[in-house]
Amino acid sequence: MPFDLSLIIRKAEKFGAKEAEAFLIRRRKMSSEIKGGEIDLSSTKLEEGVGLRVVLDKGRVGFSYSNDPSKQEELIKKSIKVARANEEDENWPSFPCCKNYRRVKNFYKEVVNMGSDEVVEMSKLMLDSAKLDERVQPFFGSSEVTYDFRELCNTQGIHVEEESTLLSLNLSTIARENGKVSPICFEYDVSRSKDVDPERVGREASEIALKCLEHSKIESGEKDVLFSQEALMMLWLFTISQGIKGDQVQRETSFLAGKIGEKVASEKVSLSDDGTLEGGVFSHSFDDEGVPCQKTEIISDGTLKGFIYDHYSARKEGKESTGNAWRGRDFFGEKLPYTSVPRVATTNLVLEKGRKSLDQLIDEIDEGVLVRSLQGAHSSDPESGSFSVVATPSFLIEKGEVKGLLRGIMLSGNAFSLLEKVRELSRETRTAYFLVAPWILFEDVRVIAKGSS
Amino acid sequence: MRDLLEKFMSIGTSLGAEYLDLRAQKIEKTEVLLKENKIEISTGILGGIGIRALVGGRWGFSSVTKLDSIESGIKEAISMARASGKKGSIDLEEVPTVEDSVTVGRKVDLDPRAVTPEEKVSVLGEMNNKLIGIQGVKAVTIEYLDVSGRQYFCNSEGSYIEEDKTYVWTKITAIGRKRDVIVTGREEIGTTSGFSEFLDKKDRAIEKLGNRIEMQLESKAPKGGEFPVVVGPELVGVLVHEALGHLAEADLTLSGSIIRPLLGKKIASSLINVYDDGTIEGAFGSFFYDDEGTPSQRTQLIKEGKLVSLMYDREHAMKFKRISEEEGIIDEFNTSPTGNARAESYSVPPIIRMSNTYVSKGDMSMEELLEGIKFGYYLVSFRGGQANLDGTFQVGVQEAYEISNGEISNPVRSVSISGNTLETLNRVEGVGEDFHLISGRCGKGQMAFVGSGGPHLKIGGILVGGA
Repeated sequence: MPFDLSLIIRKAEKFGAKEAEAFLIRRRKMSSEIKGGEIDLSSTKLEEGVGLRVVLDKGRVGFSYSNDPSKQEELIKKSIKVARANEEDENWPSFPCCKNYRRVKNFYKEVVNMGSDEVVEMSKLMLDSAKLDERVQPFFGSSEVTYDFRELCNTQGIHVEEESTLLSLNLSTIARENGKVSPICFEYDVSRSKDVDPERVGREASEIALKCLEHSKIESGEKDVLFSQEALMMLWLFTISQGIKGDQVQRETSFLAGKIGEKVASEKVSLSDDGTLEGGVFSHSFDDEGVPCQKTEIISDGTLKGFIYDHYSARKEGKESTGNAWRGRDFFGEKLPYTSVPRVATTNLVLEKGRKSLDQLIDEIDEGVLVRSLQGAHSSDPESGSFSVVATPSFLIEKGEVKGLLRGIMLSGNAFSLLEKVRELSRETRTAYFLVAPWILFEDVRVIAKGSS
Repeated sequence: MRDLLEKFMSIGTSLGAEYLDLRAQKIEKTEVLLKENKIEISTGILGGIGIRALVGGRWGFSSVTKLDSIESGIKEAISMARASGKKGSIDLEEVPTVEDSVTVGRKVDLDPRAVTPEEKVSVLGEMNNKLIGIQGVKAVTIEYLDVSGRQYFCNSEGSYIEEDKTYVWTKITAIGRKRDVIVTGREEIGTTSGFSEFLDKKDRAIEKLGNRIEMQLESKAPKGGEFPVVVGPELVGVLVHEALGHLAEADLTLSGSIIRPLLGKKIASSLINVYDDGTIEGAFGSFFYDDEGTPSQRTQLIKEGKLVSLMYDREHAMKFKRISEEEGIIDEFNTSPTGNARAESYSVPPIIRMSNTYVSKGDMSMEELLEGIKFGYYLVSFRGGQANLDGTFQVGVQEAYEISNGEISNPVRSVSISGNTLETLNRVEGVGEDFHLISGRCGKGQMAFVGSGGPHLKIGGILVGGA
């Protein structure tokens, strides 16, 4: 007997729920993992489960989940039991109603049809091109294909479903020569379609590691710092992307609370959340509450315009949801979406590009740091935005040229106030997890180098 | 269950698997999130089977959620292993076969499944009210999780183990504000001894957190630069876990960790002894058998500064046995499986994870550790940490004080420390006589419950970064 969402919500009503919402995900994942320079393990995973939210009188919400379709009635009873333990909530707005959906192109049949040989082949291609230089050891990586079927059904009349695909590659390398060891270097590619390039990933993961064998030095001080998309994503994951959440703003735990209409960034900064972005890794027709995805302006030419909301936080302010309710977006491990209630989260966070090329940006730097990635960004303070991180790998920029690796340097400051210190944005953009952005050049960033204070 | 699982073993081997194991699990979870006086409660039941097959020296893995899919899952795992290519290098070190049925936590006092959601919500509500009542505390978030479940492990060598596990974990985060100063503090409570143990520990955690927020609001930013430090047990734990522990997980050691050429050699001050111990009663990282059926144990990793073992699964124990023979590593260096193969759930294969990792205690008093430090920092509690295989690490500190002329003085905030693990371990100048273990979660693609800790340590110099 398969899960039947319409039946589940009808039965929930029969058992005493005023409202109900059932969410199903069926996920098939195939991956080929690299460990210690060879293909170590290939796997397939099949998961299917349902998360059920029920609401009793006065906004008492309960949630329960299960992956056993033979126990659908138990699931309903459990979520009602949980709701009884919950407190009343005067702000409960009822589940969202049906809207018009615009289909986003996020499903590619060719990805579903990929066989295990093809997935393994991508790992091999990455390995082979990384190994072309014998100083390089590719040690961790994977090729992964995910197929998701999402279905959502609520008592307000929403019943929607969507298939999506995702293909992702990543490879980490280390280079060694004459006793010198590079830090871990990482390269990746990700796409909804088959448009990924394993050879490029392998080649670039290797080139960066080799570049790290040359060393440079810099003194502590306030410097020009050029962030890659990956480095910016890591910094923003724990700061900006938290501070733009409507619920954080309502709690006044966001630095941006109460600042709509104010200038919060350099005029060069325009930022939006776009769940409909073509080709976006986080693009969907609807979010995990069934609300259509949309493009939401956050910062326009440096002025704060708005925040992202789920249905609950939006209705609290008399606004409409921006389609930013997502499940299972946990930093720790792999959390299956049906095992969690929806929470406010970004889709594709898009930072508008600039006019100059990356080369021009570098050319105009007299002394600065190019940061590829960060370590310790999760220790940043999401409320205040203050951070203190290790920039690794990072490179010296001197008189318009990228020089050698800077070892053990730290950057510190505040992610929100850095927005005002944006000098330039490149015209080249790239996707790093939830962020689609150009290279970004900040001025006067505090750099702390070892051996000086 | 045993008969059911065992009959699949012959199917697997007849299809060409050199080794096969099945982990069938049924897990019940309750999660409560209390944020800004709003409560979210969720409960769930998950069941599934993880299947691992070794074919031609390569691993294939599959996971399914229904018992009647096991056979197709086995075929899938075998075909995934075959797809990985020609002869691979994976071979398993031998471990004794085991038949056993056990309960982790040995004496679980009050199974969280026997506590109603109402009772859990009420306990967390009280904790919230206590914290909110403390001056300066503006917002509180409490995350509660309990996981109870049974695992049935069966492999083609004849081992069969049933193991019950119960975890109760809580993370309390408080935000304090005074004028423009915003500070965040957090405490975690974790136990494998049941709900009663959580009830016993909660008041102490609230008190600590409340004090920390009050104190942090009055603190100032640190100077950046290199300074001598005294590090408390909680931070010693995170250093030994993040900075050293991960380097000594054999899969990471092999993948380019800086300690790869240092097996059996001196890598730390001779004052330092480090253990990974999965057998500590009630500790958060304890278990009886790992997820390939090897008993947990107390493994000495560093003996008087010398690296004497890594943490292994069966695959990597075999790899390092060969390396040790080829490279003539000293006999004292251990290459037997250490029971560190752990999987977050049936849906992922086991990988090498820590259990409870700590520095063992020495003989110095706090006064002796502080003595002679003209200016430095006393680092008490951490906010998060990360380490790189090249031996660099970064740890955010949520509670820290200045040390001036051998005495603990003004509180400082937004401190983070970074450095090179080996350099730092070599600069340990004193080991305290106290000892404390804390509970935490570790992410390595999969989440694991772990313990870590040690005594107070004095370190000659560490890079301190401030906002």
